[in-house]
Amino acid sequence: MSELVTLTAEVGRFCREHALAEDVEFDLDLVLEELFTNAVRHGGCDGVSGAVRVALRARPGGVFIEFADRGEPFHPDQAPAPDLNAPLEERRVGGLGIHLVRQIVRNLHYERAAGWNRLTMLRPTNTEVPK
Amino acid sequence: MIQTEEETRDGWRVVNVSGRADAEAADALESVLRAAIEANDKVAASFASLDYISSAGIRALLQAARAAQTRGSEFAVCGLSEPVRRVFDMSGLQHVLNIHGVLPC
Repeated sequence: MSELVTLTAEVGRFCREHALAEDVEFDLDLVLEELFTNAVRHGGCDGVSGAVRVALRARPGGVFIEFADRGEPFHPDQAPAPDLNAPLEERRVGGLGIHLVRQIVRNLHYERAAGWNRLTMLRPTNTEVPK
Repeated sequence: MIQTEEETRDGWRVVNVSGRADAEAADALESVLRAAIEANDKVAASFASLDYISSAGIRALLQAARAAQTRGSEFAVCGLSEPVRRVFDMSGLQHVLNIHGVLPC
């Protein structure tokens, strides 16, 4: 998982290049880590070279995120919803990563094409964007 | 990557955690907290210097909290920075972890 370090470094570079605030960098790190670890742990991408592609684009209303992986077909709607109100002994953490992604981004879109999962989404940088 | 250092304050074993509690650091975080919980009745994880946490870091905390429950130790998390608190809120952790009250940090 040393690719995580690379991913974080690239996000940092992107954010400095586009003068993005610290909270934006935090959220991009979080979204990409959750999607990446999902693809590696559950999608069968572990140890497969070139199995994940990430693209970030700074737009006026936010950062457009594209995450693609060659793992098993995985629609984010398939992720189990975490029970946020469960007591500690019953609390499962499955689905928490995707839940966090959904809290942070807008316009989450999934498609499966030519053996790739492709997710696109927007992390708004304008706080007036309606939820 | 996380760094941890421990001290005893007001009857609490305080584990100061700094750095990034991500998927790479989660196992290390869980081990440090579990070791502290095995050896102490009151353990607090201080996150004042924690820059980042993901669901992997949250999972480590929940595992530690369960270990504390099993042993009958008190386990608390305190000193949350604003961005880390946001992840806690989004994760619903206020229901399962003692993150308020009279704590050593």
